[in-house]
Amino acid sequence: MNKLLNKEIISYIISKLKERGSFYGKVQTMKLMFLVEHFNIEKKRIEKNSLLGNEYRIYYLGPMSFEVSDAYDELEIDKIKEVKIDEKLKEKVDKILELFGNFDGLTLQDKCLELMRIPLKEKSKYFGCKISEIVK
Amino acid sequence: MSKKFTSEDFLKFYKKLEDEDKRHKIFYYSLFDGSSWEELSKKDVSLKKEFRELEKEIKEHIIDTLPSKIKKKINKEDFIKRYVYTDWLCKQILSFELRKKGIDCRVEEDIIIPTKNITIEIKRPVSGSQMKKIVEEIVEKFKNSSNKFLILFIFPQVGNENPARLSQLIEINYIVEDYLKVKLGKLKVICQYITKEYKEGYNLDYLLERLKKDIKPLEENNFRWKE
Repeated sequence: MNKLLNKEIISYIISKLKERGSFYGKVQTMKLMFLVEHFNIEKKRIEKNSLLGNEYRIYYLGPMSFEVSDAYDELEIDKIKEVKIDEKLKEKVDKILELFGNFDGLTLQDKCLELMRIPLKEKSKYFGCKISEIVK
Repeated sequence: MSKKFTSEDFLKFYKKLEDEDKRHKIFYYSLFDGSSWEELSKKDVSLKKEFRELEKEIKEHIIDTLPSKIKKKINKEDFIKRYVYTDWLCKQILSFELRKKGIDCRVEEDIIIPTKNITIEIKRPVSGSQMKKIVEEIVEKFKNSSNKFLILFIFPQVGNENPARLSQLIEINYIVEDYLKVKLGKLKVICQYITKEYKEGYNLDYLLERLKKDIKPLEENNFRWKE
C-alpha cells in the first residue's frame, strides 16, 4: 500500500472530523480507515474486497492495520487543515464519515466487530486473523 | 509454505530448550503486542522508538531461534502478527511450563485447568486508560461462566525501566480484584512485571511459582463463590 495515499486519506478524514468537532484520535481514525477499506455501503456489510490494499487483522481494539498506524504516526495531526483527495475516493470517505463519523474509537470498534458478526466477548478467538480470513 | 504450523511444532522446539535464560527470553519477547501502538499517544515518541527496537529483537530472539523445520512453515512477519502480538505464544509457553509443574492445563481461548474448573485469563495492558475497558470485558466474557478465575496482568520491561519501581507501580492494578470478585465470584488477580534479563522476582520461573501458589486456594472450593 502506498503510504502517501494512506497519509492523504487519513489527513482528509481528520480534517473533516475536526470540521464536525468529532475528532477523537487514532483508534477512531483507524476504524474509519477500515470502513473505507472494507465496508460495502450499498450492502451495508464488511467485505473481503479491499479498496486501498491495507491489511487489517483483529487485535485487542478490533480491526487494525500496521500500514495505517505507521502512516498516522508520521502525520502532524495538529497541522492538518484542508486536504484534497481523488473524487471517487472522496465520495466513499464522505459517505463513511456521514454514517460513522460521530462515533469515538471504542464505539467504532464495537460497530466494526458487529458488522463482521463477531460478538465482543468472542473477539479474542479472532486475534491475529486477517479480515480476508474472517469475512467473505 | 508447506504443512501448517501448529502449537505442537512450537512446543517440540521449546521442550528441547534447556537454557533457562533462552526460555525466559522467548517468554519475555512473547509478551509484546505491537497492535497496542494503536493506543499510544503521538507524544510517546520515545516509547514508540523502543517498540521499533523491540520488533527487531522479537525477530532475533524468537524467529531466528526457531528450527528450519518451523521456519519453512511460517512467514516471519505473519508469525509475529499472528502468534506474538496476540498472546498465543505466551499462553503456549505458560501452559507448557505449568504442565511441567504438574498442573494439568491446556490452551483454549484462555488457559484452562479443566479438572479444577479454573480459567487463567492473561492481559497485557500498555496504558492505564485501558484498564476500565479490560475489566468490563472480563466481566462480560465470564459473567455466565461457572469457572473460577486467575486474572494475570503481565507487564514486560521496556527500555531501561527500574524493575523495583515499576513493579510497585503496577500493583495499583490489584484494585480491580475486589471489583471483579463481586462481579465474578472466586478469583485471584496477579500483577507481574517481567524483565528482559533473567532477574530474581521478575522472571518466568518466579511467575510460575506465583501461579502455582495462587491456583491452590482457588482449588479449595470446587464451586463458584460470590461475596
